[in-house]
Amino acid sequence: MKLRHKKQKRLGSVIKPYILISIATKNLLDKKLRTMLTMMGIVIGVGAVVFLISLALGLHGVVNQQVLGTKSVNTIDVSSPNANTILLNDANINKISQFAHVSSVSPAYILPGQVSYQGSVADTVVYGTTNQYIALSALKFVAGSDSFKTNQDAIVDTALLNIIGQSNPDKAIGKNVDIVTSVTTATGQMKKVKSSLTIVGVLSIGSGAEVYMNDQAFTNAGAALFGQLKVVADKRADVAIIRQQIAGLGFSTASPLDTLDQINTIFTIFTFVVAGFGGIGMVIAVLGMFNTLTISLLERTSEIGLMITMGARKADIARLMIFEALLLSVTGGFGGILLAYIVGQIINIVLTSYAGGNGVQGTIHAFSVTPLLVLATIFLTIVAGMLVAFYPSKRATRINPIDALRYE
Amino acid sequence: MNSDVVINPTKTDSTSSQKTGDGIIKVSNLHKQFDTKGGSVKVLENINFEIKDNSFAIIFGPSGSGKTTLLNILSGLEPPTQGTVEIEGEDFYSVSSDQRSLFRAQTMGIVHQVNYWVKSLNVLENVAMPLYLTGVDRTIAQKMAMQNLEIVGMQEFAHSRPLVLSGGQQQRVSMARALVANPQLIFADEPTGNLDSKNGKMIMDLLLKCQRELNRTIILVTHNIEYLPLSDTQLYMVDGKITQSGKGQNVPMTEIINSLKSELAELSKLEKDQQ
Repeated sequence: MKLRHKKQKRLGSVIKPYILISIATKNLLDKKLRTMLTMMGIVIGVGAVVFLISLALGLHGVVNQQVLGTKSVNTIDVSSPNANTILLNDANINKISQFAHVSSVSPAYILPGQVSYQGSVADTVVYGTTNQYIALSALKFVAGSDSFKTNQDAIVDTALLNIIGQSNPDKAIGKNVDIVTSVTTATGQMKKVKSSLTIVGVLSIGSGAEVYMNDQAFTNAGAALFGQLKVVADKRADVAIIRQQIAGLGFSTASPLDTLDQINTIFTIFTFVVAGFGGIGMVIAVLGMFNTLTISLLERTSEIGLMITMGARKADIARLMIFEALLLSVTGGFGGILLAYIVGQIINIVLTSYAGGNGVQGTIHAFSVTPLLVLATIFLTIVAGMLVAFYPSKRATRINPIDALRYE
Repeated sequence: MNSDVVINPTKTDSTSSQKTGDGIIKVSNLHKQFDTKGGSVKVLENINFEIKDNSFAIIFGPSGSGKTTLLNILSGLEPPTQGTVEIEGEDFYSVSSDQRSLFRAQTMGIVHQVNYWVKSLNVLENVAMPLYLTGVDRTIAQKMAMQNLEIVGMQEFAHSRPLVLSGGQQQRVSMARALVANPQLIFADEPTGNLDSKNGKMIMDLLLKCQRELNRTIILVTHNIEYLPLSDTQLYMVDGKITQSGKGQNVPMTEIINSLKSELAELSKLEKDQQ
């Protein structure tokens, strides 16, 4: 026998954790109805929080998708606030392309012009550009190709087709149109540019009539000023500094990040608000759990006294209470996540089906349970379990075994 | 009979707590009082004795004499107000309560008069609990628990809940639980108090077997004078003091008669109260 355990100055719990978990489980199952009701409270509380946050995340995603489409957030649109004094020409574009972390630059001539088709003539905006610029513009194509194959290819929008009397985009593919526009040369002369083009693609913009054609014809005519430049940064974090540098040259810049930031701000507030509403349920559930554990401790006072007489230490008793709290909170947490996920998915399916019936394509993710949300919820349920267990476990370790055995 | 007990009830010198060779428990100048609303109540006063290894000691005396409090102090559950309890020469109360708990788990088995259980666990797991608390794996602990249930003839109830058993059966299981960790010291507080004669005899036989065949030290608190001849060490307590002590079977008959008179007086008082 050795009374002093010199190598073990701070005595921890030596009972195997799996045995403690097993005892904690049996203690909970011994009062099935009470445990089930407490756990249901946690399931509903956690479920409400996850459900509402997943709604906020889902709507955030839907709005982002609608606003940004397939636009790259690394893209910066550059234009001149005053085309006569701040020139968006080859020299300045060359300067911009030399900035650090600029991946590529794609300029476009943007000019007023006229389009003729089978005797019909209409005013239009003419873009003289490259396939890269079109790709970066994230345009929505409804027919044909989304790029030029030759210098005689044209991409037109549905508004233009309507004006020239061709409402079916598929039938417009392969048709010839004549484009007339004027460019300003480096010497300030106006020069007319005529092009006969074949429609290879139709896009839906929703604004006025637009034609996209290869910039070669304008370059050959000596056009000196571009209407817009798309600058692609290496990564999202570089966008701000590149914008500052471009602004230093006098140009105006716009980025999808501007919109994205506004959306993020709104949805962050929205997420906190809905989480707060859900949190009320969660607080009630946690109080229920606290009540259950405290009653359980009172009921088992003599059992704890018995365990101490048999040699249980403070750490053993505290851990038993903590395991019981964690079993309740984590199991309830998983149940809540599952409940919120299932309900969210059902609503997503119903919304997608309803939207499909009204001609909207694609899946609607109004509720989005992300891995981060799952991990954060599990972490919070663990924290809640530990907090709830704190008082009962502290109280349990202060129990006098002799008084406890007399408790009943 | 060996001289297993060294008693000096009148001794007050607290400096006499020296190592005593093969003495397993040495109590010196022990006092215990409880503070109540009406003031302090002295429960134990100037207790001095020594119990050697492999003894069968009986603490004997009328109700309210302080026997159970003394047993609780000896088992490390109730700190004394004054004095020392030495286990193998080391002051039991100079270490932390956690160290006492670990020591208790490893070396002490306790049988209570009333049976206490972890109600959510079955008989086998309740018996295995002292082993769990010393870090033994479940499989090994339950195997050892089953062996101990076989010793007390309760193996067929291993998977029952303890509360469905009769009082005698529960006490036998309680005995198995006290023995499962193979403790050097066994404390028994009126273990046969609520039992019929058959079950009582079985418990006493087991305690005797532990002492005589397994060389364990037994400290038994009892009212029952029939058990006195089984012991080799007797401590007779009245009003919180050891008034007589003996070694072997030498407790004077006058003390036993006094004790019986006291019990009878209590019984007649109870009868009168009921009338």
